[in-house]
Amino acid sequence: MKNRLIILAAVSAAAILIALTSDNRFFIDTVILALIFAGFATAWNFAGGMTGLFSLGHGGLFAVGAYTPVLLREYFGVPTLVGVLLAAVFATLAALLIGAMSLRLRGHYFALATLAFTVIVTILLTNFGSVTGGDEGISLPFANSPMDLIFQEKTSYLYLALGLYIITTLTAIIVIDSKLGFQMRALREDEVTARSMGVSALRTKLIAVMMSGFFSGLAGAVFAHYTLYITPGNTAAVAVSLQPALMAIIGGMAGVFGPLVGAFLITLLKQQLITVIGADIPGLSNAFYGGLLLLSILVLPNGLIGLGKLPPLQRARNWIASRLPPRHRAESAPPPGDHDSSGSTRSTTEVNK
Amino acid sequence: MSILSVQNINLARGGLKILDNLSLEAQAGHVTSVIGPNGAGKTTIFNVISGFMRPDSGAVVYDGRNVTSMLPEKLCNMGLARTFQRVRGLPSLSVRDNIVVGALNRTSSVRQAKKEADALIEELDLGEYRDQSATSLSIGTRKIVEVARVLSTGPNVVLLDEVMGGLGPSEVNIMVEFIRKLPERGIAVLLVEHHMEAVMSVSDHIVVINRGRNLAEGTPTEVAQDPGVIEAYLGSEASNA
Amino acid sequence: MLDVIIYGLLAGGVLSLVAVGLTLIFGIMDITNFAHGEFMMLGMLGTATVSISLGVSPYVAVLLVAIAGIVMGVVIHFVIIKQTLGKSLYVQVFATFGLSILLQSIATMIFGTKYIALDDPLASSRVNIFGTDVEAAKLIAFVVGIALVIGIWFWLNKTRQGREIRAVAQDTYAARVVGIRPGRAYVIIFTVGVVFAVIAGGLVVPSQIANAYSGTTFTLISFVIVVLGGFGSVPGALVGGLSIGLVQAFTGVYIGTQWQQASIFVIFVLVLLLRPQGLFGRKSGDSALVGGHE
Ligand SMILES: Nc1ncnc2c1ncn2[C@@H]1O[C@H](COP(=O)(O)OP(=O)(O)OP(=O)(O)O)[C@@H](O)[C@H]1O
Ligand SMILES: [Mg+2]
Repeated sequence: MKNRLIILAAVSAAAILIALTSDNRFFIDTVILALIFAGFATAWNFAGGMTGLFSLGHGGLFAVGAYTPVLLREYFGVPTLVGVLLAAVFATLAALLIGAMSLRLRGHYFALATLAFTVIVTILLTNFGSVTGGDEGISLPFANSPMDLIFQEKTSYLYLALGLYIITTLTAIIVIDSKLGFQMRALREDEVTARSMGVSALRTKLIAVMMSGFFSGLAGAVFAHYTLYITPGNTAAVAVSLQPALMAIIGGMAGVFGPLVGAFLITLLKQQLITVIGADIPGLSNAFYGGLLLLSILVLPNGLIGLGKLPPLQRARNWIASRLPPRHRAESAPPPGDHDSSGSTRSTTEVNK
Repeated sequence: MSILSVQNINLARGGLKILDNLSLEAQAGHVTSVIGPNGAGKTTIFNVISGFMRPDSGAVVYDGRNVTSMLPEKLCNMGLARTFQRVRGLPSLSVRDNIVVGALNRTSSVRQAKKEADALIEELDLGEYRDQSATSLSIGTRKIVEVARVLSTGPNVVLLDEVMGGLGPSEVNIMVEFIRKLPERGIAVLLVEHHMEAVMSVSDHIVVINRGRNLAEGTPTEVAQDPGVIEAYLGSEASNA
Repeated sequence: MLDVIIYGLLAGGVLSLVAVGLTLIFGIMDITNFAHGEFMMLGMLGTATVSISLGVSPYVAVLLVAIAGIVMGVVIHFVIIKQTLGKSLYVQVFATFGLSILLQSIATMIFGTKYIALDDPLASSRVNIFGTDVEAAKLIAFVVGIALVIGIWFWLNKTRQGREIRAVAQDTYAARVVGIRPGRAYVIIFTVGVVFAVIAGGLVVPSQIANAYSGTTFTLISFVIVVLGGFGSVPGALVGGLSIGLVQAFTGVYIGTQWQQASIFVIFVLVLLLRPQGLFGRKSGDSALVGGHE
């Protein structure tokens, strides 16, 4: 807990330092986006990494968060700060749908059902165009009105994004060492065992997705006010929906800071690829992105932090064990690197033998 | 009065009768063993008792309450805990964290749960494995961790499903000694085991089942002399040996 | 009403063809493939381009493209898919997601982002089915699609090699014991899946414009069909594809074309929640209820 708080303080200090010293708008832009997505990915990780609920539908929650304050302000004159809070509340409620899916579905069934959830949200946003602006989305007026979370200065957004990241991560730090955190991990590891040890699957999963939904909604709301332009395509689309999962995986799902690392890497990668490769050949920078993504997921299935966590000693031991004939190994030990979140694919009825 | 009473359980799956009017009882402070040939239905009756399978008819009465088909987590909260024949555990968590999860069944304080886990680790001499992941252990140690995991939930009744399977002779002795001590804590032990020597030495009462039905029951000596049992079970075991 | 049914079934035939590859990859290799629709997109753009630049009929062009599809399937299998066999779900999802981005961007580089339309005299001629006037292209696509799906079903069920491949799906270990090499079954199944998607693309492109981003929709629709029909079930993919074709046609006519997609995804979620094993699938442990009873 203490170590994690120190890391969070260091991250915050670094972000504030950037805000105070850098005048490279492009760089600040990258940092802001990375922090917003770090918040989103950390939010995803309450369900995905901590509880093993591998959701591909968080884009739907992000979109609820993005559209709620904007629509409420536009149609009902709801003050933005109230709207942002309601965004988080609505996203929490929407997350209950994902929670309901998690109670009945495991593994790829769950992943696909959650994916369908975000697709449905995309379609709803597109089809109710008279309210949501349809495919074209909504542009927010670019005016300096801090009470509406619309700022003139980029650095103000940096503080806003940092605030989002800090409250999300503080919650994660508190949860991960709490009773709830242990129970979430137990469910991720093996639902049957966890339940046989008194962990309520229903309660724990629902709380996990609700926390996840709350902070995903907040992230969506901050995103809307930073980009000042929201469409189904940049909030709910499948490509967005997969982002937080991807970032958490690339960074490492086991702890609290993996999503942050992943969010920075992916955001930087995307921005840098466009800068370095340019847009002269359409598709080329995206091809590099896809290729690197493919490569890193195959080479580092446990994420960057997962790599660091494995002490060299244990790595050596695993290596030796993998070379021994099977009977010298611990019985039925799963192949290394393959037993983390896959716990969710095991079914609840598989209790024989 | 028995703390756990399993009454006339019937259960069929895929047109096959797996449990046929099966009944058994467990007393606090006693070790009751359930024995029977492979496929007799021992694991299945454990699944029914622990809430993982819903019987077609019959009742599970625990502490005077009908708990048939209650959720497994609820049953554990009420003091009924089990091990799994195919050791599951929480694979990538450390031995200590496995036990902490169990201890959290009774307390909300993680600090308290850690303290209890450490005490149990000490008692079971698991200190050197404390921070290793459950999958990295030898099968013998994993079975002991499995028992520790169950005890950590603070049960009144424990269901142990072949916790000696795959253990070496010295490990079996350690396990037998340990199981013997459980009744002293007021725990009712229900034991499924193929290791006959161990069963005979540790049990107060033995229930023999075959093809999902009660075949015989009594003290170890009574059961060992029952011709039906020798025929159906011990006979085949003996001729294998 | 009858015309709506006919339009729906005709569209559904091709969907079955795309989905049957995905369902086999699921059922036999246990891989969740997010790149599947991209193969169809490549089939669409490839066929249109070959047909236009060589001046041949799209139905000749699709054969050439299908042969290229075999090479592509084998290469992608060995370079990427093989590395994800038996790995966690998220490794598969993101490896194939990365692959789909890669294929999309490669298609963008080769074909650009413009929509390509194809004009072929045979394809655009009209035929009359039970009094309904339809484009010949749709009928051809339907007939070829259904024929290939039935063909793969016969091959899997009636030939020795097909039965061996099904044995791998049921029990990889046992199959290995009796001397079947699962690795070979995997290459074959993956390549068949790719080639079927490519052909499906070639079959629809005479009657439907396409660009580098046309694949994603088909990935999603194929997932719906696979879930509807049951993972790994060929008859399921056939019936699932036809049903989705019908649902889309009816929604399009009676509710509005903008709700076509929504309707199938709502059905998708309902089927997942109510009957996760699909209409034709064998019941699996995944259908476990919260109570932990099967
Ligand atoms: N869900 C199920 N569906 C169908 N058959 C089942 C199911 N569960 C158990 N069985 C069958 O019921 C019978 C009893 O199984 P069970 O695992 O209870 O035996 P057991 O006495 O524990 O055997 P062992 O000593 O080998 O562990 C077996 O024939 C088994 O195949
Ligand atoms: Mg058993």
